[in-house]
Amino acid sequence: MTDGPFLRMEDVLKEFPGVVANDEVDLAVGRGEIHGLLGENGAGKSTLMKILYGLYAPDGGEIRLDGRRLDLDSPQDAIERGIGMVHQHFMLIPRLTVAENVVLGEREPSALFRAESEDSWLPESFRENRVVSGLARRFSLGLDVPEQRIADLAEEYGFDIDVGASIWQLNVGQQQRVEILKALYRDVDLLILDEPTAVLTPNEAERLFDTLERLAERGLSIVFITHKLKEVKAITDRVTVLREGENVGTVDTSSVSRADLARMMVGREVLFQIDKDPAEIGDPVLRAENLRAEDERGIEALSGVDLTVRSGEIVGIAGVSGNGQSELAEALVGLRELTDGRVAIADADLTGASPRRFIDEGVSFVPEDRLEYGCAEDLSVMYNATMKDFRDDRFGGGYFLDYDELETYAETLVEEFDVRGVRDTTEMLAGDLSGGNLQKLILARELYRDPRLLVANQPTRGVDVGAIEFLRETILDQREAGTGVVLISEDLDEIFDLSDRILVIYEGEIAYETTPTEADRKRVGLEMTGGEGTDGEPTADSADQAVADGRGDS
Amino acid sequence: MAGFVAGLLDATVRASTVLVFASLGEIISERGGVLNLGVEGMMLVGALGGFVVTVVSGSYWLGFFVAGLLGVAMALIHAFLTISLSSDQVISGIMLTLLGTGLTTFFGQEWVSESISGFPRTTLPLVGEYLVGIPVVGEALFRSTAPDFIALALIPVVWFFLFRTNLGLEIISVGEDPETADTMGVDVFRMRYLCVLIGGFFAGIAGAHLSLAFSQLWVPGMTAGRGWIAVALVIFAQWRPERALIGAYLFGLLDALKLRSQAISVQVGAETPFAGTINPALDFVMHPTIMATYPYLATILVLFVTVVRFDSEQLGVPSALLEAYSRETD
Amino acid sequence: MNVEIDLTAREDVPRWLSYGTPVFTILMALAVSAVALVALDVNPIAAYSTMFLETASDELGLRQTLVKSVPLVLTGLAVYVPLRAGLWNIGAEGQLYAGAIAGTWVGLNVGAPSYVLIPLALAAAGVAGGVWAGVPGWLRARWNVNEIITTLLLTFVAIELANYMVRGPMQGGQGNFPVSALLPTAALLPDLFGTGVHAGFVVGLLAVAATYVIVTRTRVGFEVTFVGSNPAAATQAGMSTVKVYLLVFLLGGAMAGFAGVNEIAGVQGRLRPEFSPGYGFTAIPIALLGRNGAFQVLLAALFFALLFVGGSSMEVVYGVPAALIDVIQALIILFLITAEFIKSYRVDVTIEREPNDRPAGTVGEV
Repeated sequence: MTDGPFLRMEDVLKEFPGVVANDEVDLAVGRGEIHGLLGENGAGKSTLMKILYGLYAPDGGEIRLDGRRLDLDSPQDAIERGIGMVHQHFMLIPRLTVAENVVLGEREPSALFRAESEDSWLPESFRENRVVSGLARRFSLGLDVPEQRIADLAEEYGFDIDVGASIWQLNVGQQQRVEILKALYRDVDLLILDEPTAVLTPNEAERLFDTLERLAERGLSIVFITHKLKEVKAITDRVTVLREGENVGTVDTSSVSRADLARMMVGREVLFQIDKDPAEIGDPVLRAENLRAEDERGIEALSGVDLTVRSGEIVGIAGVSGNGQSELAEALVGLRELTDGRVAIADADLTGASPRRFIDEGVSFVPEDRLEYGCAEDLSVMYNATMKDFRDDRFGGGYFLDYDELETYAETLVEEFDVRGVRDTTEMLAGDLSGGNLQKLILARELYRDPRLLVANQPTRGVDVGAIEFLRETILDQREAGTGVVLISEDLDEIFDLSDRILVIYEGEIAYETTPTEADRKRVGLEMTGGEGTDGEPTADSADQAVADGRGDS
Repeated sequence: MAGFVAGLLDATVRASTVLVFASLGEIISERGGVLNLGVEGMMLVGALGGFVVTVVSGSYWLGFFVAGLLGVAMALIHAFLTISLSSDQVISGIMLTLLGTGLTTFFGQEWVSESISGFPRTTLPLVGEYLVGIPVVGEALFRSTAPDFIALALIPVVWFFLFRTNLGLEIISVGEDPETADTMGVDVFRMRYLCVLIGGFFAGIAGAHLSLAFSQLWVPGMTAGRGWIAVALVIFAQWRPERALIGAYLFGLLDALKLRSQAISVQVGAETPFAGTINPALDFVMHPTIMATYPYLATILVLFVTVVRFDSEQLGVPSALLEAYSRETD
Repeated sequence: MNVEIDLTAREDVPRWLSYGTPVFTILMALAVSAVALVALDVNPIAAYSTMFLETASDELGLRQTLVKSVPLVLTGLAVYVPLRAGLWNIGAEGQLYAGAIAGTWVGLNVGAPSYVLIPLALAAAGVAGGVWAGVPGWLRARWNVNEIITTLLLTFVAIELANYMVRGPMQGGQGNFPVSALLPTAALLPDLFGTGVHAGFVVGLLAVAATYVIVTRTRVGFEVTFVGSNPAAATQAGMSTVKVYLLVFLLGGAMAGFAGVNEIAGVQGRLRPEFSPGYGFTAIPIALLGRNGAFQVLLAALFFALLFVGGSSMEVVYGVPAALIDVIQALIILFLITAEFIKSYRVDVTIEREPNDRPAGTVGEV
């Protein structure tokens, strides 16, 4: 229809209270192109795409798709214009089936009322009546025809998916394929993928890339959001770089090096190297033997983990999300009940003890989900800074508590750990801090107590680069002070940069052990997915067990 | 004895209808993600409104319908506050119960002595006259007021609506994960309004059934906690319409027993061991005021057993219940 | 034409808004309730002036207000304390009855001088109220059984139990009236310095002060606040939600129990069925209005006590049911939560023309 690019976004502006998320950003994507959108966390990539998908209303600028102006009030409008999006956090409803998730919002009528249906005994003119079809679209639901179409699409792209299965029975890779099916089912011309590899194993990521290339060959335009340079080089044709909400530039991927991209992304030379002194390793601070525990559904998530951490040592736990990491972290701090095994901190056997006892024995914890477990977002910085230490005698003896002392303590933490944006620790709410500053506050609270053991689960996820450096250095400093650290991360670079020893967790077991100096990254990546030969699909028994435990909702 | 059982069964069916209406409405509302604790208030408003309209117009059907609309009007307040303004669902619901109680006591005093001829009892159309002769259960099941039949018919209707239609799928999606529903093009606000308003309509007619069919009179506070029992029943029913019927019959039975407690006197003979202890104990448990507590205690017990037996995942609580939704709050 | 409503989150709440809100909500509630008065052919201005001005300017009215405030502040605290921990106690009414039954029983059956008997009756009432709330508290803490439903349902049980008591074991006085015998003089609460206000008022004030200290000055108060804000984080920090949940319900229930025995020993003189005009339910709006602190609860209780007293005089003068005050209470809170929304967002309404090149096929449907 036009010679110009398929999608053109011009001068798009979006402001949130206090921040300009997108400052007059331009983006042009051609037909059949895989276009990378590169930037750090908080650079405005997701905001830009949520505007394109109708979730946010822009405060300025213009969007044209195929030459026509695009005014989106809701995702519904975006869908109708042929735009699909695979969100970073999957937009799937676990209790519903694959087919139900795919057709949701499409209002597929029952076969009896389907206009093009051949074996319906209702006369065609009746079925085509506007009132009848309107009612049928609301008050009936036909999954047979859609299920067939979804199965066909899945076969076409080599997806191994049972359309009748509930989402919660699928693994992460399969769930992502359902997300892509949702878009394909709606015949999209433009597909947005927001950090799609964040939750995938290296092998699954490869598979995803194959799929995307096949889609692009068929003329689909793809916007691929990422902050990983490697992926940009591997998959995209061109790449647009965002920094602090501004457009830094668009380049042909083949014409630039990774270093060039890194400079564009961060705005300065980045040499992410941490000077790490050799560890002075002391006595064991943690001894865990044969840990077994179940997840929320009562399915075994830890199947006999042995773990010893010595003072002054960082033990990195690598693995793909959902292989028992959260359960392990919680078991090590007394939050998750063990079905078997023992945990000892220093000389104290704490098997079955309350979280309180673990804290008293010098265990600190940085949970994976800052807002859910790490803080009370509606309470002030003062409450959050002191939530583990308020029992200490220095804040007053007996039943009474000296709130002035608590405030002083909170101020000390804020100052020493460079938590920015806090004027008054009793007024500022924890939830109003940025992700990086909140994480600094949490780390401050956990480390200022000078713990024996620190259990840190994804301590730098979703945090800006400046804060990441600070957080990592702080953890290394603490190691030198003699704290033993369990570092759980899905970011292999982080594991390799910080750890003294590396353990790979797979399906609730420690599958492999190595050190950063000896390690072969490929081998580690392979072990994360269950070793040779498998590609990360669930085994037959675990899927069967899931089916047996499941109870559908309809 | 057969006569007593038949009578008790009959009273059970009649007493359960109000709970069927109210809990079906609450199931729809909660499936969409909105807890409505205003059921009790909406029922009272429906009971009085339906009663007044029936007295004035002489048409119990009109009264029944107006009661539903009054329930919708109350529900509209709840929907506006909790969906449009993201207010706390618990606070809004409790206040609507207080509001409904206050309004009906305020306006209802002059109607207390009025009498009406409410819904008459008829046999079920077509087959009823043949089946009503079945011993013990015939009268209970096949000779009822029209709302009793409607309530029973609504159970499969609501089941079909929730689990076999596109609107039902969208309602469930909105109650499970409004953000996902939104990205799939489901109008979250409209669906939630729809659910809350249907819930209000059902609560309104539940009240009207109480005043027009069950009691055929109006007394302030006549719902006596039935709205709250309905809320508890939804948990017992695990948010499934067909299971609500079981709960409704259980509480209908307790209600029926309470009404009949004066007629029962059970004592052991004086020669039985410990008769001196057993008989006063029997007197206590059969005392009308003590029997009046059984529906409430049974609700707590049933709630406890249900919650202990299932974890929240198995229980089937809609995942986004109590969660307000607005797009730009990242 | 296209009406667009634009909402922007406010970063700072203007001062006039945060102070004006309570006044605004009360005025709005009164304005809407006026419609109900008009419907019964009553001049709302005259009715309100009877309700508020005459009550507040009259010595008897003021005395009654203080007397009414005793059960209201105590039940208000019974709701407020669990609310601090994020739980709903909507059964303060039942806990009040439990306290009244236990307190009356002690008053009638224990022979002791006043200075022993009254504290004993108070203690018994506190224990009874605490148990009545403690059961739902324990069910919630240990088993996660919804406390809203259980506290409310136990209220009906307590009211029926009081009914049973005055018809059975505690029936006293002449004839077969369902009332208990009169309490002996030693069990009656003394007058405060001849003001006509009974000593229960002091109990109420002490409870407010104690609640204030517990919530804002103690370790357990820190835990209550934290658990109320985020129980998962609190558990991670080594706090016991079970302990906190149980504690707030025991404490709250005890206060409602005090309210019950104060009302019997200070006002009624004997246990009657359904003696409370819904103090325990009014307690919910009181706690919501005063949720920023124990002293705010006291202020809210005094205001609602005025409403109660004014409502009764309005009933006498104009013959309108006092139930109007239930309506006013509910409306106050409904307007309060509306105002909270307005407070946190700036609402801009703009009216603009339909854009010309709007794409076709974007008409939504339900």
